[in-house]
Amino acid sequence: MKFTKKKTGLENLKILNLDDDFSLVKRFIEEDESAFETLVRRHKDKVRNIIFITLGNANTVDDIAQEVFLTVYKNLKSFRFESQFTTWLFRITVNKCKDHLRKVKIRSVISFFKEDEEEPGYHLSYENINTAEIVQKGIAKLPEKLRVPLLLKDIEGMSYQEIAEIVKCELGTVKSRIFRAREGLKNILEPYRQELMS
Amino acid sequence: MKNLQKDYEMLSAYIDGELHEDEIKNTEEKLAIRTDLQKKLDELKKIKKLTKSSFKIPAESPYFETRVFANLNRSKNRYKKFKTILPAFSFAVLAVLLMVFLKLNPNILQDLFETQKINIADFYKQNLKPLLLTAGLTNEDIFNFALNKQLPLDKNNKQYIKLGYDQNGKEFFEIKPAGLANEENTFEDFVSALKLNSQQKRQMDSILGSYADEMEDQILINDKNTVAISPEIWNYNKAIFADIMSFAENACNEEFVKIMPAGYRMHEKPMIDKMVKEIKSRNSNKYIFFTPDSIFMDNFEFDKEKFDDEMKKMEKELQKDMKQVKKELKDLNIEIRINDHITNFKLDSLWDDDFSVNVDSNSCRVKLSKVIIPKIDMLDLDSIAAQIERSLKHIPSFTFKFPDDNRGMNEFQFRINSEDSAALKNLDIKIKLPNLDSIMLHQSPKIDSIMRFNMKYLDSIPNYGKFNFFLDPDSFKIPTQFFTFDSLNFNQEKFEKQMKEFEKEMNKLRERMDKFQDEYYKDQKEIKKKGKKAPIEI
Repeated sequence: MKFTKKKTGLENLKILNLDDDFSLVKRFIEEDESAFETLVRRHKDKVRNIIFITLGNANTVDDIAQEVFLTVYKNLKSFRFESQFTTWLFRITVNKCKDHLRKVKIRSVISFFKEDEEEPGYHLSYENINTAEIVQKGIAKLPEKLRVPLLLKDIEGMSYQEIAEIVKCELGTVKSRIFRAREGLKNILEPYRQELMS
Repeated sequence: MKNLQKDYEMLSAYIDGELHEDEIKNTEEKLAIRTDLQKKLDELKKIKKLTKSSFKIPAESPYFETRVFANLNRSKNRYKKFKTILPAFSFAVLAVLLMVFLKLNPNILQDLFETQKINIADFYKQNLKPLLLTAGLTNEDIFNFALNKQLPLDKNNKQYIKLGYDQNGKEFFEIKPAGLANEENTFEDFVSALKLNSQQKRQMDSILGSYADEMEDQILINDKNTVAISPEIWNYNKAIFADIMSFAENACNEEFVKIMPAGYRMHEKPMIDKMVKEIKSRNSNKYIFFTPDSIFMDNFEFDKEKFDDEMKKMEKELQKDMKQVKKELKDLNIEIRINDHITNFKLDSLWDDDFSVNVDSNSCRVKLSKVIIPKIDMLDLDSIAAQIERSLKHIPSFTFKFPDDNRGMNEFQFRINSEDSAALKNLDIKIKLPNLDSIMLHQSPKIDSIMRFNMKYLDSIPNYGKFNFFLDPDSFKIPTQFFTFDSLNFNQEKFEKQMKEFEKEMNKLRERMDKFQDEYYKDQKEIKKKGKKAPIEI
């Protein structure tokens, strides 16, 4: 009689798809440093996009992204496999962005310097005005809690469910915030209706 | 209005493709009949399109990955470095926290130690019982305590507590084995020297008995080998001594004067009584505790009434007489073990620098400084002895010369000349003897007994019995230990008895020698007879 070892679902997953995020995380936990490099290469673009969407400042994107991956590296061994790796990663990214905005705000209050370059998406010049810039400026004027869900949906193409997990709120709230963001943006762009239509 | 807002939200979700099938159906039905919704849908679609088209993600820096991995490596090294120093760092942090904690709560350690000390002290304070009840001290012991300042702790183990004064006059007591204690029974000598009658003797016993009762709570012991001694015991020592001497002086002044140093008088009786009353009324709760592992001083209240009640109850319940109970208590094996461990004690904060404990293999001496002694001058035998010693220094030796031809003389006279006229005046001494020749020839040991009479004056002075007399009958000085305490106790009857035994032994020897002589002659005769035969040729 031949005995066969009964395999668990996770082992089957490991055999079938060794490259998925969970497997890479597992390999990293088992001291395989190369798995983390794969994770970085796989998700760096999304992370950078979210940072840019949230902060609206291209200069700080790479720095914040570095911080994000450093934090992920330090905490990955405590990852509990209860949610998607990307959800966990993007939540860290959004939190890092919020931390950055908080720091900028505090720094500006303390130093009395107005750090223009830190303000999201405000690099528009009315002399060379174009449609994209007008819209970007309009988006930047939206409050953070409306802006981030809108951009995660329209730029990153995330589902409401994913957005809700990243920004830690209810699905209905995400739906409501995205609508309000669009309404707000419409009102902001109302003075430029002619330019936008042309 | 609220419904309209909700419809618009549904439209927004509709263009995002986030509605369920039934929601889509419902929304499309509404769109088909409502122009306002159609208009809003167009607006939302335009906004979405604008958002999507206008937002361009900036290009990634060419060194982004390199920087990320370089930072990770740096962080890894830093983490490893931190890991190696983590134990030391944690220890340092803990030490600092501990220091801060102790700084903020400076008394916590002291409180901890104090609590432990109190717990240990309480353990050793349990079931303390009066020593006098268990050791069965006699009136003689009390008397010896007054005179020699020593009291047996336990007759079975033969340990004594001895009180004393050091060179600076500070009180100390020491616990030592009986072998090192003075075991003279001075009480009997004292009673016989005073020639007390039976009634006076009873009075003396009564005085001592009353102190035995009073002193009950001065020394306490328990089954944990703890001995608690009240420093008040010094005062009792003085009180007993004063009371005894006062009684002796009043009861038999004539004999009292003989045994006491010349010119010494006790204080007035009312003064003695006042002092005794003062000592008895003092109520000190301080005790020095000797335990198997520590010596410490602490407060302890011995409830004498409660103890007496317990004893009475015990007596009643067990239907045994007091002697039986005492006998049972006497069987308690109490022993103070003096060894190296006893030195591991911590000085109590109550003590000052004058307090010290010296421990060796034979004794344990505790020096005190806080014993409050009543300020009444007492007869101090030690100081009297010192005074006599000082006086004797002025006559380190003296000579007396017998006349060249002293036969037939029965009176001798000699003079002691002292340089220090203030301390001792020139003294002429006459000794009349009925017939010195006969004494010298036949009863020389009796001289010792005569001298013993004189030495009675010195009975109460320890170790001052050595005098150097120089006999110079033929201009030839022979240093002689003329008498010592040992020689004073010469027993003539014993000597005669020994001499008789010796004589008997000599007679036996003589008989054996005679017998041996007879046998010898007998053998000689037999040899002569054999000699008449012809010799054997070989």
